[in-house]
Amino acid sequence: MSSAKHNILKKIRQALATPVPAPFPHHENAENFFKPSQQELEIEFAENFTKLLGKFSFCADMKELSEQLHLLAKSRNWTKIFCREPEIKHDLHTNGFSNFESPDVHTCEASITDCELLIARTGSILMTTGQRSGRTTSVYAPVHICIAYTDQLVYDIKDGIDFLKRKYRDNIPSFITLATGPSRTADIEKTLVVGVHGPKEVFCFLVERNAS
Amino acid sequence: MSESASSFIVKSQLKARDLEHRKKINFNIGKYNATVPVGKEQFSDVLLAREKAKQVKWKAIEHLDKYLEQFDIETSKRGTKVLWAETAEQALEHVGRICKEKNCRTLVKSKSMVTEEIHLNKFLEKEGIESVETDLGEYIQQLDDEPPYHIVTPAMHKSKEDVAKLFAEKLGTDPAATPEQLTLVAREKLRQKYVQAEVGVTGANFIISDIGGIAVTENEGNARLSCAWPKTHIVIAGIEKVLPSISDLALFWPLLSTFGTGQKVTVYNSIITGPKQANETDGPEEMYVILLDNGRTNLLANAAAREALYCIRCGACLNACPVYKNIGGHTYETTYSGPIGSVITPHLKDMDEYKHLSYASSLCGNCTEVCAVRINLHELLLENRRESVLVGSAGIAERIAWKAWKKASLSRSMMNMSNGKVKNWVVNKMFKSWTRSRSDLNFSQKTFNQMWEEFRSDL
Ligand code: SF4
Repeated sequence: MSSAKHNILKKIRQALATPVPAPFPHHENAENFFKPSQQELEIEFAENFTKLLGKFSFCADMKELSEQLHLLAKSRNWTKIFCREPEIKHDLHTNGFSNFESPDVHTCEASITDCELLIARTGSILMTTGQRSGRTTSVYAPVHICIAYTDQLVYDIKDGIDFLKRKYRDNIPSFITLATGPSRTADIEKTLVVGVHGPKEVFCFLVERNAS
Repeated sequence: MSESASSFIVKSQLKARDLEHRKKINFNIGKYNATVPVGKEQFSDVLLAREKAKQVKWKAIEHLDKYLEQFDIETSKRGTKVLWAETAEQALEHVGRICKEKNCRTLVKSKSMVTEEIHLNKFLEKEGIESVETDLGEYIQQLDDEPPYHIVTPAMHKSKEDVAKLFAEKLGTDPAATPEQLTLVAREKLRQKYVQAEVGVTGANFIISDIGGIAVTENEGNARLSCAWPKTHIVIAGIEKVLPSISDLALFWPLLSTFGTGQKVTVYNSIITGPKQANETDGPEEMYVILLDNGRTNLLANAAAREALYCIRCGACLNACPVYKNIGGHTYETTYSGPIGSVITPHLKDMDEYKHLSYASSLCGNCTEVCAVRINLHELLLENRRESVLVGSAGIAERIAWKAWKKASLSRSMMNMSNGKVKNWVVNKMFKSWTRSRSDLNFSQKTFNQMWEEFRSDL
């Protein structure tokens, strides 16, 4: 053990020999701190995500998703879209969308990723490096497009954390992020500016799917 | 009086009269005050949430040794190297050694108060390493060669015109640029840096024991980028940042966001548990976590003040403090300003040198009222005052004066001997510092006993 570690732990143990009483022992098991959902999770998510300047769209199936992506890319004149998820690429391809010309995230105009879950209460997208998109794709591209399915919706952050614990157990990915809307700052006179270092725009396409 | 104290008094007097400063701060804090209630709406019972948070932090701190060891074991399993530092110097040595090993020439840094505390940038500059602040507020402060003014909003004291002027001078941009344009300039400049840098440094809002991770809260995405591109990621964190479980974040993320900026959650809340794993696509090859003591165990050893370690650095107590609003963040000349800074600095550094901060308070209790984790801040300020007098660090003249006064007020006969004129003289002359920034005290011409007799005979 390094001597610094040894010394610090020793000082801590000496200090803690004098305990201080628990401030609110009766709250030890308190769990619910947030207002419960008043509506369907899809709507709850869409409302919260849109409030934070996220762009939301609902698709009945993969075919409709492909059509919508096609229209979006056309209206923005995008020719360089980056995607690292083989399954999404494959599914979109079979449904007629294969505009993935960008070889890397540095030069792309937009990136497409999937997600672990959507958190309805906060309008957030939960992502991890358990997905092929990794750490960079959703944050370095100027526009982030997330594709999610209706069976990926949960209400609160707590549900999201429980899901990750169940899914990964002892193999928690090295990076987890709860992303809520486009990157923003209010560092200059508390004036909201969107698109600082992360994406300026975030789209979420929610595709109908029944839990399998 | 200590040097820090004299400088503090002079600077406070100047700042308190600076109306331009007050206007900018009131404008910023006004906006903060308007958004916090919006963030609070998400809670069914915000008081319960704050009390629960205090209970969780109590548990974390009361078992700090256990949780730090658990963190060390868990994160090491994923390849993170945990380093311990008793002092700022030791932490800097660690960083210096890693940078040398990696031939680091450029380092990107996301916002972190603990790197301010150890003066990392100054150290790196001496080592010939370019350290780039990537948080917009910190970037502005770095351009202006100024420390952060506020723990959450580093450039709070600058108007948009100030920033436009600064960018024009340093970067040659349009002096009339809008906040949008200025932000875009920073975006373009910094995008290259993430990719170039050999090392990325972040702080940690939380150290999570059960899974062996650290959590970073931000809005801009610069912290995410700082630990995505560079091959080496260094985290520097104070040992008190511990939360027992990843599940605690479901409460602490919204709480920190609401009290920090009035958001439900900030844009990015990330957890990092190690470097890139074998089956992952990207990320740093190596990750180091430096656990820093630097005086925190002194605070821990002081049972009365220990709860100051529960602080999650939301900044709410700064925004609520009438003293902070008047004298501003820089006047404190400490890394942590405002009420929490006044509470912890004397313990982290030196009671004698910094005890004056515990007097920079009207004891209005507003800080305690707003604290995200319900720390009894104003009581801790009083506790510091008591301790500084006990350990004998109050000025000698002041102590003799208090002693004489105490003796006189305890002895009824001595008190009754003197009428108000004598008392006025005693107090106003003996406690010169009282009258320096206050008007003379005026005691009644009658003694309390005389008044009491008169009052009784009136009944
Ligand atoms: S003392 Fe409380 S209010 Fe002040 S910064 Fe810390 S948590 Fe926030």
